[in-house]
Amino acid sequence: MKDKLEKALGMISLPPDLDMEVEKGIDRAISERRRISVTKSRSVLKIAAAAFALVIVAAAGFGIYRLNKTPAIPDDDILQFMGYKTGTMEPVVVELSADGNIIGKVDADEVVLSDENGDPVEPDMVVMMMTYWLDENGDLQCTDIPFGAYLVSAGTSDGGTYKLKGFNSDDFGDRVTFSPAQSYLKSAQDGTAYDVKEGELDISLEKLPDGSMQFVYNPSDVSEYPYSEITEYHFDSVMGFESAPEYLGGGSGLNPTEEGITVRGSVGVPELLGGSMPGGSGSQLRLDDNLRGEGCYWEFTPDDNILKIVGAESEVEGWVKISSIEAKLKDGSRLELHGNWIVKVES
Amino acid sequence: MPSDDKLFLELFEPAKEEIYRIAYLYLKNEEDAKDVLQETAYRCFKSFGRLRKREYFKTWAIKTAINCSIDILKQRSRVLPLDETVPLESLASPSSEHETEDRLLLEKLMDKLDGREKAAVILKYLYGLKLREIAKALNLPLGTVKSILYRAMNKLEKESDLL
Repeated sequence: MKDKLEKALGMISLPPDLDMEVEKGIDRAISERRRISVTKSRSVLKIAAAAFALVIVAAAGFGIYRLNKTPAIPDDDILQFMGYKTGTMEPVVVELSADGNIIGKVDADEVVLSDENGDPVEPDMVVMMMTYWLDENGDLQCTDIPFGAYLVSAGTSDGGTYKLKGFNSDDFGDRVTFSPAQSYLKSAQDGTAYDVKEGELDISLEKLPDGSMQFVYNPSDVSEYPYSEITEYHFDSVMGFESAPEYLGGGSGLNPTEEGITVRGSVGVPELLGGSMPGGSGSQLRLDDNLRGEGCYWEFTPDDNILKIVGAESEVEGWVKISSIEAKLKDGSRLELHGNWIVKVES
Repeated sequence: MPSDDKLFLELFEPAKEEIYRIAYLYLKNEEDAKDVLQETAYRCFKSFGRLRKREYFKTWAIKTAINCSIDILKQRSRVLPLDETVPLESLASPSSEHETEDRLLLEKLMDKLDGREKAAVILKYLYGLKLREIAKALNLPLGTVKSILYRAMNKLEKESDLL
């Protein structure tokens, strides 16, 4: 059969200029490689740094609730946060320029975050992908979270199944499929981010009988990548929801633990608010059309991982999107955050 | 030129004609097949550093070419109807009874098999991939690959004694 197929294929005449096509393809790849080598680390760090800002906002929230009056502005264009590196509580400085760029130490085309001593810091955890900037009034603004933006820390290369805590809603349907287009895996060896092409990596979220979701990827696919340990999976899109919510806005950092991977903050809000953030009765939330109610408040416990908005009215059940939170806290200060988050409505 | 780039060229060179022919099998015209060759060179060059076992380069490149071909078919929605005749000018004229058989097999490959069937036949019989490997390459369950292959072989064998 092999012989017959070879002979049959041999019947197809070859045009004279095949070499030229090969050259064109390689030239495209080389020029793109040059471009990417300049921009890739920047984009990765930018995403990471933006996420840091979010964490830092939460951390800084103890003293700075009113984010639309910026806490520290070194000059008219730059907003500086002093915060703590996720997990390690290592101090980090993140500066944000008015156009949304993260400014740390700027070295040619690469943006490097620096710690308080000026030493480069590479974040070990990204919680959410957002971009912040100061508007013309000096108010802190941030982008809507891109559709289904995800950054997942896996910390292992042996494949397998990881149970995600925090996805406990029937509303997610039976299967959620990550579309890895324009996504990357991050190497533990050198920190390089590798593009993941659609179809190269089979990754899915599957709902377990108990309602939780599990994260599955094909270990044989992962082994195609030339490094021993993968630290991060990044997915730009999540597809395949069978029912509400219409989309999964926001992103989650997932922590590798002895038990597997734990969703940090479910869909952002609990992580954002933090377990020690003063919520509770008396806080006020201003929500978008999906949720209404004056005088409603949130309840949050660190183990819960779900933000409960008590007293709000909603026409939908389960997970809904909110695009802004304005909270009046017990001490009279005010927290205002913009973005997209998914919250679960408790009836 | 970096050594990896040089190695890539050395490995790709002997594979280019086969890539072109397989692309032609799918797309049935020279320009599209050349586009696939270019795209395959582009994709493979970009991902070459990820390929751990260089001895599998050719199979890897062919799989990439098949995926490129399928992508182009999807993008352009230019799947020709089954009764479309193969462009004669691009095929060598048969000069013997054996070549007539070869030609008939080629036409059946082109016109009777869909994209996945072609891929399964090529990967199994031309490159000797195991069913599990084909399933992985085509991102299909193993059982589906088996049934695709069975169906493809039936089509090829039908009304002739080619195989």
